[in-house]
Amino acid sequence: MNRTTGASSPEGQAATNLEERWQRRLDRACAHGAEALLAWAELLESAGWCVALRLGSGDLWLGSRGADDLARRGGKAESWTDLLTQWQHLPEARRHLEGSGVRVWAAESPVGDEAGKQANLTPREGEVLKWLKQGKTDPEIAAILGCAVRTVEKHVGNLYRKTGARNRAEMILQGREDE
Amino acid sequence: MTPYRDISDARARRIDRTMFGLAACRSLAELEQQFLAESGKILPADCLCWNDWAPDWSQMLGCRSNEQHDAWLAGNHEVFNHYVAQHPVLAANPISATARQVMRMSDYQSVGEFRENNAFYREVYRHLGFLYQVSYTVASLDDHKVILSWSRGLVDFSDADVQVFHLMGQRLGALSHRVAEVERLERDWQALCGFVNGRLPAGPVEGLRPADTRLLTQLLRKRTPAAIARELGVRRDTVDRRLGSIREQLGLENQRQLLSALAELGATCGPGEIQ
Repeated sequence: MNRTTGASSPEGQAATNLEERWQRRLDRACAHGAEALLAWAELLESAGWCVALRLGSGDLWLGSRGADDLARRGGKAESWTDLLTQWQHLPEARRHLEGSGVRVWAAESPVGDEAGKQANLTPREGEVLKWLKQGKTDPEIAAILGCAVRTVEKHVGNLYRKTGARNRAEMILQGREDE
Repeated sequence: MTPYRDISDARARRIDRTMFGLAACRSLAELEQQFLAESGKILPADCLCWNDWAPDWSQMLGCRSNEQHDAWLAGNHEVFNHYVAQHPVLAANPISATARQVMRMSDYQSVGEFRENNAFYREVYRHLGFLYQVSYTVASLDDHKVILSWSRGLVDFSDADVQVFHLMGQRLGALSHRVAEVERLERDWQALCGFVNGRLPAGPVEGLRPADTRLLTQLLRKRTPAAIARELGVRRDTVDRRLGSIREQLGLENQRQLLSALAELGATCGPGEIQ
């Protein structure tokens, strides 16, 4: 990363130490921007996107999902230049963000059964889930849908069973397919 | 690298401190401006920056100085082009050679001769009352180039001065490298925010700190706030308060809305996190 002109002579040693100390301070001061990007890259990765970032001079950050996706296509990226080559081979439809040093693409969808499970919701269960996502409580949903609280509880029980979620937070996070 | 034999440690540190003050610049143009403002304090001489950080030497005519006479060159490109090769330093070395060492004009041609032979440069430097010059190229990365030249009258630049310039040039090179990086990161950051804002049914995410983002990542991985608090070694209250401030920034009313917003962020063609 540091591009200093060759400093191998012993008399240049003192100057080099000074140089290195200075570079380190500079690196620290400028690390903030990269940190924010990395944090978002990880979040998007968790949300199911493949993300690659260019850090420093040509260094590559590639999440495990992105690496897996490339591997599935028989590709591999060890530097940013590698990734750009791989990017050319991605189908247009999967490329979602093309920045100078940031790329986001969708993984090849390998999952079919899970989506099917989600689609099994009855219309009424779908409505209940929609209001759950808005942060409504069971009695509130009952009032909105004009039915008894017990009925709503029953629907929620079925939702737990169908989604396999352990709590409402999980249910909300999983329920993104069925809108 | 030139060892800075003739500069005392204290002086080198002072230069480092001054130059480090420029690290907060957000763009190369700002860096150059600040550098021009500071350079005169480190060593009183008139400083010019040539080439405008262009990727090659094509912008040699672009020039900024701390004496605000850069507008003068605007209409004189042709003449300048013609004369650029006649500068004694440039005549003796390719421009890129200045990247390796500081060139002192008086090592190539005496002041008298220079003034005698170069009516054009008399004109270029007329505001500066120049007699002596040194120049040095700051080449950061491989793609931003700027030539610094200092000039002053009466006293020629000593070896110590030359070393000071080299040190300043080195630092400016490192700084520009970093500033260019920060600029690029900023662009990438805007792009990424645009991407996220387009998908997250909530307010703009630009204001979130990296720590906030990491917290959201944990939520998305289906950790409960209690589990997150345990992992981070903080109180449950603290996590809740931070989540509250995130919700406020995103304009969301409650935790479930936050979760469903995060769920919307998910990739559209695969259920992602579901195992």
